[in-house]
Parts: sequence; structure tokens; C-alpha cells
Amino acid sequence: MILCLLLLTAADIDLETLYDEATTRLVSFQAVRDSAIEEFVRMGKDPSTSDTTIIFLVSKFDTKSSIARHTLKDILKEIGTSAVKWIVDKLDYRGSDGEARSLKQSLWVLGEIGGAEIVEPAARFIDDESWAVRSGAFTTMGKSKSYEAIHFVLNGLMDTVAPVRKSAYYALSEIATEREFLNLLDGLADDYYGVRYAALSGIVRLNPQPALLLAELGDDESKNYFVLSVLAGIETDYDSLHVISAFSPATRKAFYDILPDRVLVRYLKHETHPLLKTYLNKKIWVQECE
Amino acid sequence: MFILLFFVYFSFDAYLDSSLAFIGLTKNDLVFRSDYSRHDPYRLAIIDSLLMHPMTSIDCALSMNEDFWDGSQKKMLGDLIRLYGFDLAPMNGSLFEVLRDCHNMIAGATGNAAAEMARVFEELIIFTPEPTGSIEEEKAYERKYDSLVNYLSQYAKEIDYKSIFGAALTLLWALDDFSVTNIQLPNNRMNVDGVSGSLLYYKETDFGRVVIGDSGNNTYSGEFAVIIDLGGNDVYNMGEQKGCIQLVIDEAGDDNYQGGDYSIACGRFGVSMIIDNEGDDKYEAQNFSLGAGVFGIGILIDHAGNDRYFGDTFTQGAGGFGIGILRDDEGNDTYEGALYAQGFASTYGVGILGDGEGNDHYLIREKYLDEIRYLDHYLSMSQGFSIGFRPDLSAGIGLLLESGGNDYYVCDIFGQGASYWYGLGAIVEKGGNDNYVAYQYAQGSGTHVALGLLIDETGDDNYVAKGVSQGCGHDLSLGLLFDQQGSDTYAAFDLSQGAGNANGIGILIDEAGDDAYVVKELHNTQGYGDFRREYGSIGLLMDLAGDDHYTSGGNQDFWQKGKYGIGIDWY
Repeated sequence: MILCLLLLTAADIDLETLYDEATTRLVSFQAVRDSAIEEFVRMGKDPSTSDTTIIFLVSKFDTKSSIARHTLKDILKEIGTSAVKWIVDKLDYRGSDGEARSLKQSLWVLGEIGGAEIVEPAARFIDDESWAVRSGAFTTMGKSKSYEAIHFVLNGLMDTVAPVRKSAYYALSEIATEREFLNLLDGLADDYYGVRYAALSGIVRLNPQPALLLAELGDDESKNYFVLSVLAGIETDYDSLHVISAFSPATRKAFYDILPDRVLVRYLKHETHPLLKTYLNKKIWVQECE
Repeated sequence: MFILLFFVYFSFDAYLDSSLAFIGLTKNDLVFRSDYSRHDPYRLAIIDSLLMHPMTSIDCALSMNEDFWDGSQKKMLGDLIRLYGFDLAPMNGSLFEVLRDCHNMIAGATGNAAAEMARVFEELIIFTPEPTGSIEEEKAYERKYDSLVNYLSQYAKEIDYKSIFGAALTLLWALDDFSVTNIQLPNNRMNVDGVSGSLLYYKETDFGRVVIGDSGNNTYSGEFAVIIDLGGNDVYNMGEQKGCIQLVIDEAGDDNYQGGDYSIACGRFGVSMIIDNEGDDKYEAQNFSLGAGVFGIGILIDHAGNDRYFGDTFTQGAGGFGIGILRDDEGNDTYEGALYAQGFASTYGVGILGDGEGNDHYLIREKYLDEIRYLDHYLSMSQGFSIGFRPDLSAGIGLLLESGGNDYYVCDIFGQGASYWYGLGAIVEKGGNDNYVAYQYAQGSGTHVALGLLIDETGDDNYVAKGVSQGCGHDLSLGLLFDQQGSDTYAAFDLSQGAGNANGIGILIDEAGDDAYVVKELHNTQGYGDFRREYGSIGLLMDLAGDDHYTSGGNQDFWQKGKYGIGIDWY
């Protein structure tokens, strides 16, 4: 028993030293740092030392150091799914003060590891009082890439805090099916660009029929921009739009991005905005060079 | 009044909207939050407002510049004190009555922990030039750092800042009605310890020793509460300030001020002011000096002459848990420091270096190695810079306010309108053909939830930096370089000239002139925003007029770097 305790103490000391080396910020010790990180990954993957190593690393999640947080994430991501159990075990520990650093770190690392098994643990925090924790929970569900998270993710789309909505829409963009197409479409008109771009990405991934999107064009210039940007991201061969002159320059630019090269010259003749004329000329020039 | 934030219409406003529209954004997307981390009690309220409306920081910096130069010194200080939420009414009385009152106000304001607090703050601020020798040493320092910051966080609130600031304001009000020309005293041959030369008056009071020197050459050595000198080329050997009030007024002559740490207008748990009205003067001290406020207010005002200022750390307009001001109204001046200098603020601090007319040199010596990033570059953290103690204590407001002349700015890592952790750092340059040289995190650079601005109004300017500069926001920060007139040259290597990184916002706006924009790395410069935390950083380079040259594009042209970065030459 005493021998075991001594061995454990010795191991702890080694891990602490290794951790100090892995989290050094001094550029002169970069090689030591890289080597320590490699050693942690090796020990985390080795069945004989895996549990002890991962438990130790998770115990450091409350750190105030930014570089330590990134290092812990990198190591545990590399170790992979065997770390999930130990992180989930400690998920209810928010941290030593109101910052909830340990919990936020847990959610982050779980997301970086990914997989369906992280959905349920993360879902426990989608209604958390801290917006940063809610945001982390939704991001984690997106990283799971598991449709099992959809029910939870939909709850976050109306959150009053923009970064939380962004995370929920990010998650939706990763896991949505055609059933959630309209939810994504709503996101294109959100007040916050993080949401609009996440929705754009999700719709592009769904690769919908262009007609469904064109029907959304209307008076909202910002939404028009994003609708056309979606079209630029999916396979389309659409080459005429009669309302083009009514669009703002920014929306016309988005429109030109979806046009096939062969019709650009036609639009150049009618374009009056100097910046857009330059833009079209450059596109045409590139096309001719090719 | 700069505390009241509102949108002022700049000529670039309409173009900002139109430019952002090309990447699907509006001005409403240019926002941060004030609650990415716990709100510590030392964060100035204005920082929260600026983070939530970062573009208003242009107006804020310009307004602070106007307020600094327009009006009296007492108004200048009153405006700064209001940043702390204190609306103070100064007491009336003659100068000597006021000095006694101020002494009494401050005497009860510092609390029991003052000595320990000073030691803790000093340990956090003063670096050693020798590199850290081992990881063990580094980690030991990190643990110590944590404990020092915790101490500061817990006990710094015990200081009665309102009383100390009130004393400083009262003293400035009294000085407004005071003129040395009204002093008519017979010459007395007095032997006073620490003074050579002729004196007109000497008295030991309950707030310290008071001496008035005549218009000949005098030397003052040791501790005085008040020195008034009517002229001559004088020497001041100023030791560490021990009393809570210190006032020096020098009417004329080429004077030499010498001191070590905590000297030459360093208000530490008190108030220290030096007002030098004429002459080509030399100010030479070490750490915490030349207009430094450490749990107090330090003000150094030099009204005329070609002056030279030398210090090391926390010098030349530096404030931490207090206000430090160095104001030089005229002349071709030289400023030299090493760290935390020339318009610097730490937590709960405002530090301002204001310089009026003249061709000036601002130099930060390479002394303290930036061993986290480089083997051969040095921390500057100066020239309109502010930093807090991440993640526990917010930064403050560090400003370098320059009114005119062809000026030269040199620093290495962090400076020239930059900030780190819930603070504002800015240079406002009104005119002249200026040269800005730095290496990294400079020239309108915000890092880790902060706001860094460089605003240059007129002149043909040169901007040279390696990276994370010239309008670069890193990690939920705004970095903005705004040049209004002149034909300018911008040179950088990477991540600069309108670059957003890690959800930061980086903006470079040039309103007029034939400009050249040169970079090495095309992919992350001149309108670039990267993708982090599942959304984009924002980068914008916008030029509104002139025949310009770009590495990335041409005149009347625009280009996108990723989804969230754009460069536009409108005309």
C-alpha cells in the first residue's frame, strides 16, 4: 500500500513537471514543450497509463492560462475518444470561481474530439445561465455532427444572445437535413452576421434546388445577398434575373458571383457602378486568360 | 464631453456601410460584448461602452484629445476623473490653505495596506532584463504573479481614490489663481539643508518643507512639499516622494531634474505636480516617474522649450490605479523610455502623454526581452498603450496625444495605439509628416478584448511594422488605423492593414492622398478576416481618394480575402 502511494506520488510529480514543460510560454524552450506534448499524447494513448494521464489533464481544466487551455485541448484531441469518459465524469465541476472555466474547457474539448456520445452530456447545458456555457454546449453539439442533437439545437436558434444563436446555427449547419431547411433560411435574415454565415454554410451543405432560394429574394437586401451567396456555393447555371438593376451594388456583386462566365460581358454592358465594372472586367479577364 | 458616447458622422461613414455590404455585413455587426469574462471592479465604465460600440472609440479618442488641449489644466484633470465616475467639487482657498487641506484629505485615504500594495504593484510592473533561465523559474513566477494579482484585486479597492483625486483637482484649481509674479519677498540669506543658491522663503509646515527660490541658479536636493523657483538654471535632485503632496513650480531657465524611482512628478498614494514654464529642460529618472500616478496622481507640465525626458519603466504619462500625465506644450522634444511609457495605463489607470507643437522623437529602448514570442525582440508596451492583468484585472486608458510637427515614433512589441485586455490604447496625431516604426502589435492593434487606435489627421506619414499591426484586431478586439489626409506609405509583412484575427475586427481607413500599401503576405493582409470559434473575424481596408498603390489590388477596385475580409479603393 505504502509502495503504491509512493509510486503514485512519484507519478504525480512527473506529470506535474511534464505539464509545466508542455505549457511553458518561453520560446527558448519550444523544443522541450513539443516533446512534453508528444509524451502526454503517448501516455494518453497507452492503455497502461491512459487513465492516470487523462484524469490528470482533466484536473487542469480550471486553468487561467490561455496557452494551457489550448495545449490541453490539443493533447486530448489527439488522444481522442478514450478521453470522453473522464471529461464527462467531471462535467459538473464548473470551476473554482464564477467563470466556469473548467466546464467551458470540457465542452470545448468534447467538441474537438467529436462523436455522437458527446451530445447528451453537452445537452445538459443548453439552458445554462451563462451565455458562454450555452454557446459552448451548442458548438459541441455541432462538432458531434450527430443528428441526435437536432432537438436540442433547435432550442438555441431563438436565444437572445447573438453568440449563442451563432453557435446554435453553427450546430444546425453541421447536422441539418432538408427538414430543417426553413430554420436555416430564417438564419439568413438574422441581425448577427455569425448567424447569417452559419445559416449560409448549412444551406450550401444541403444543396437545395435553386428555385427554393430564388423565391426568397425580396426587399431585404441583406437577405438577398446571402440568398445569392448560397447560390454561389451550390451548383447552378442561372443566367438571367430581371430585377438585377434594383439590387444594391453589394447584392449585384453576389449575383455576379453565381453567373456563368459566358454571360458576364452582357452584364458588364449594363453595369454602372465603377467598382463593379472593375470587378466584372477582372472576372472576364481571368476567364479569357484561362 | 467624451464620456457621453454618441455617433459623430465621419465622412467615411457612408463608405463603411457600403464596404461592409460587399461581405454581407452592416455596421451593427461591428460589436463586441463586455462580458466575455468576469467583470472586475476596476474596469472603467467607458471601456464597456466602447466594446459594445467599438467604432465610437474613434470619436472617443478624438474628443479626449480635444478636451485635453482645449481649456484649462483643471478642466483636463476634471474630465479624466469623471472617467472614474467621480464628480468632484474642488475646495476653495489660497494655495497654502489648499495644500494643507489636500494633505489632510490624502492622509486618511490610503488605508492600512498601502505599503504592501505598493510593493505588490511594483513587483508586477518591474521586469528584469535577464531572460528566464528555466521552466521552473517561469512557473514559480506564474504562481507568484497569480498571488500578487489576487492581492491587488482584493485590497486595491480599500484606497479612497475619490479623496486623492479630489485633492489633485483642488490643487490645480488653486494653481489657476496663483501666479509666481505676485510673489514679492525680500531676498534672505538663508541656509537651508538641501538647497544652494538664494532663497526668498522657507518654512517647515505640517504638510512638509516649503521653499521659494529667487531668479538665480539654485540646486534643490531632498524632500520638499513645495518648491517655487522664480528663474535661473536650476538643478533638482529629487528623491523618492515620501509625503502625500508635492508641488514644484519653476518659472524659467534651463533646468535639470534628476531622480530615481518614484520621483519627478510621481504621485504615489498622493499627488505630485511639476509645472515648468520656460527653458530647455532635462528630466531624467528611472521607474515610476515623469508624470506617473500609482494609487495617486502625478502631473508633469512643461509649457515651453526643447526638452528631453528619460525614464525606464512606468514613465512619461503612466497611470495604474491612478492618473499620470506628462504634458509638453511646445518645442522639439525627445522622449526615451523602456517599458510601460509615453501614454501608458495599467489597471484602473489613465496615462496620457500630450505634446503640442514641435518635431518630437519618441523612442522605446530595447531592454526587456519578449521571451514568450522572440529570442531577439523586446517588449515596449508604450506610446498609447494599455494592458491589464489577464484574466483578472482590466486595463485602463493609455493615450499619446500629439498636436503637430514631424514626429518620429519607435518601439518594438506592443505600442503606438494598442491595448491588451479590456482597455483602450491610442495615439491621436493632429499634424505633420510622421514616421511610425514598430515590429508587432502596433499602430492600431487590439489584443484580447481591447481597443487599439492610431488616428493621424494630416501629413504624409510612413507606417512600418512587421505584423499584427496597422489596423489589426486579435481575439475579440478592435485594431484601427485611421489616416485622414496626406500621401502615406504603409509597409507590413503579415496580418496587417485591415486584418481581423480570432474574431477581432481590424480596420484601416485612409481618407485622402496618394498612398502606397505594401505587404509581403497577401493572404492575410489588406482586408482579411480569419475563421475562429465557428464564425469570422472582420478585416477592412478602405481608401476613399487618391491615386494609390496596393499589393492586393488597384485604384477603384475591391478584393476579398476569405468571406469576412475586404479591401476597397473607392476613388
